[in-house]
Amino acid sequence: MRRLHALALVTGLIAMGLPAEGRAQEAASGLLAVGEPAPDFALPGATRYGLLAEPLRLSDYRGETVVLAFFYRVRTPG
Amino acid sequence: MTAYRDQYASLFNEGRNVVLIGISNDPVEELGSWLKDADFPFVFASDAANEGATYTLFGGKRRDNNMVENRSVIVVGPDGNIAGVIPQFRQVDPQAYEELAEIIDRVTPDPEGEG
Repeated sequence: MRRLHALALVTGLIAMGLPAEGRAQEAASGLLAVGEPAPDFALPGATRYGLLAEPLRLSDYRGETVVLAFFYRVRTPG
Repeated sequence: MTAYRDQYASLFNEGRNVVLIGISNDPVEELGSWLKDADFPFVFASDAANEGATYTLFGGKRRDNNMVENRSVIVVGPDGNIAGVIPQFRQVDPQAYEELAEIIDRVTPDPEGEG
């Protein structure tokens, strides 16, 4: 029974994963895969209230979910 | 990024436990000026000095002009690991935000649980 439970768990985890199309797109993009550690970076940052005095570091946000949105150019639509 | 602002309250819990960082190769002064004018409630980071190299840290490719190949969205979980990757984010498509919300909900602690 225990083995059956393990099998069900693994099957469930696979089913929860990305659809095949998403996985293929991910691989083609070369982007890191889910589960890999995110590389840290330090960049000049800004908010609507002004420029940040200290560089913005990804590691400063440990404990929170961070959405990194790469975009082309300021003041473009979308 | 305007569409992100419109999705902000529902998707990013008003910033609680979820941080949106927009990254481009624009000088930080230009990013700051746009944030102010558009009143965006999130953070921008400038990759100008590195000519877009931060995208390549995450495995992405640059174009000849050093701009990112695609408008990619990468979700980093509270544990510091990659929680989701959307190589080409269609930011004007409502369905794209549903996909993003699913990833965020999967890894983000419920803000209600914090009292």
